[in-house]
Amino acid sequence: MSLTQAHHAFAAVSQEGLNEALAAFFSARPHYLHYGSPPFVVASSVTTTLIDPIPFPNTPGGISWAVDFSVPAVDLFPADGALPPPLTLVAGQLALATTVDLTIGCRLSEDPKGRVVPLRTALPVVAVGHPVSRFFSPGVGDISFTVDAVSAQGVAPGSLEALLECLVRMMLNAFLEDVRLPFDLIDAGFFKLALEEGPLVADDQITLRGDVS
Amino acid sequence: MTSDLVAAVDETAANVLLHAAEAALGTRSTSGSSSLGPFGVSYSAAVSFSGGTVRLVAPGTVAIDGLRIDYSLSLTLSIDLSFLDFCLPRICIPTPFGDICTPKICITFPTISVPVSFSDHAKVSGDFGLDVTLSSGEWVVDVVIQQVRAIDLGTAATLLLTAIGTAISVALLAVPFIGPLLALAVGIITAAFGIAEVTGLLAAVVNVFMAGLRFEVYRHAQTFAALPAGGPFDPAVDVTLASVTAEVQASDENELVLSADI
Amino acid sequence: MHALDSRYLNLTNYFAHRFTTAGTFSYGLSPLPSFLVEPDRAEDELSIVVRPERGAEQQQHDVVVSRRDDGVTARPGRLEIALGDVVGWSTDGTLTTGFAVRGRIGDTTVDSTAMTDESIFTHAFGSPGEYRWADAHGSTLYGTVQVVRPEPGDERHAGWTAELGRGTLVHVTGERAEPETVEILVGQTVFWAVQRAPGISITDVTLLPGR
Repeated sequence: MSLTQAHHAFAAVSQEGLNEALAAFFSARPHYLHYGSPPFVVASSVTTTLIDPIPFPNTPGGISWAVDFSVPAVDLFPADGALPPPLTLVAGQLALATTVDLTIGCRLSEDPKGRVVPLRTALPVVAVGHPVSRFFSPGVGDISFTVDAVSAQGVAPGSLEALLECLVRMMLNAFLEDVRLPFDLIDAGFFKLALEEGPLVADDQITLRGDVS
Repeated sequence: MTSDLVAAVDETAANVLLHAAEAALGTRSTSGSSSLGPFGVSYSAAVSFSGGTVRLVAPGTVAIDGLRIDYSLSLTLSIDLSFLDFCLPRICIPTPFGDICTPKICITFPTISVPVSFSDHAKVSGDFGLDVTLSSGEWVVDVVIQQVRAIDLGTAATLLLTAIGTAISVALLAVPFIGPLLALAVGIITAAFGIAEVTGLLAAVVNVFMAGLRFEVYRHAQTFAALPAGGPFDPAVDVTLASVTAEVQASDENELVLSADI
Repeated sequence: MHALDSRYLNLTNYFAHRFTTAGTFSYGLSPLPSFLVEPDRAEDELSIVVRPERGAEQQQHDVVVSRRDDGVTARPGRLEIALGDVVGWSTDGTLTTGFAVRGRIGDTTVDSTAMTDESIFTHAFGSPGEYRWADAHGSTLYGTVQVVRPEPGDERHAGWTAELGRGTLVHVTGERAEPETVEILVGQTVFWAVQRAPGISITDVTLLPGR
């Protein structure tokens, strides 16, 4: 079976290539993985994103907090190993593994200066999602990723697990929306792709098919 | 799949890429010398390429059939007219001073340069190979001529032969003392070469341009901004193509495949 | 290539003079004014001795002007002729610049660039066309030579080489040419015979500024 099949052009990024591209992205723009309010982050920069503290009555300055993600590792269908239940991977899907560091600034009781002590926990999570594409004109388009479900292991009670899984899913989708890989990276600039099919996930690769101009 | 990135085109899309590469090559020029029968010919020529149909042959051949070469030729034929040399006889006439006779005057004819301008097109079929190079920080993939299988000059040889005959007549008209020798001279000169010699001249010129012909189907910076800078906190995301290969893969349809590792 | 101009004699020209005065004719061959020319040792030796008696018949003597390593030469450089004989000068084609014949015998100046009397100038026409000619020295003398290329079918085409042996005469008297207009075939020769003229040239009008 040919690569282009019923179309005239084919472009694909392998699982390894995708992970290298994501590594390059997060290496250049680490602020997508690191969020915090003062005192953890005092200003947005290339490395960190300033977020507001959690407002709460009688808590001057709010509750300070931070969220840090490790660089996500992507596993394209078929899965390289078993996924934590209840997650499964089917054709068209990808799995994403990351560690979420949650930190709050714990205010010491009756400290007249209101000093906080960072309390941190690391939460490994696995997510399942799918790629989405935008196509504007031949050679102009990109793919990004949407997370459909998250599994956080070893969290009890189950309601806390569900809460954290939802929180992480919302956060992942928030920053993944800005992680876009252009077509001319995937086709290495060989042609201007007019997308007709894809992105499809199978055989450890994401494929695009279409015509050229 | 072992490469990080794979891009492939079938023969239909390969035609699109090749035609774009032909247009990008623009006009090529050269000059040289050849012969037409017993006469020397110097020429300058300019050509451009278009069209043709691509056939992909595994593992690494891009066959192009019917590649159109539009050419413009400026030829200069050197024709030695010394075969016309003759002498004006001694002439005697009566004058008021008696009979006066001029001496015999021998006329020697020069070597003339006959300019001929001619434009037409040829169709060439050839086999090209794939050449991948990294030069000055850029990956380049060329299809490079390996073998010319056929050159179809069409009716150009006949038309050029006519054009040369006309140019020779025009040039000879300007030669002093040629008089009625003009027709004789044109006949003798044009009998010295024919379609075969003109065909040989045209084919020689076409072959000069075919030798070493390469079309660039891919050029890309080795390290490039996959994503441009997007704001004060979003610098460019640079990616490096560590390796690039090109080949023709055979299956139910043959495809030109570019593979790269990042 | 071979312009019609008697001031500069070339391969297609012949200049002749009938010597009707006895004495020694010393002459030079440069077409340039004498004050611009370094005297050439060879030219000092060019002379024609005209004996005071006539011969039984008028003779014509030819001098060939050539370019050699040692300059412009005339062969023969010295001649002895009878009164009334004709001497003519032509080049063998080695002289790429034009030449002129200038000298004196007694009180008579013989100058091919400004002909007065007893002089013949010929020109063989190599290209077809209409040639209007006049005197470069400003007299009212003028004329026209129509040069025709015979086409196939013209009876003169087949016999062209024989036609080359026929010349046409234009008789110049004073400032008048008779006939004023002649028609010849390409390759043929026109003879101008000059008598009692004020020092004239036969020059293509396209070579004369302001004409």
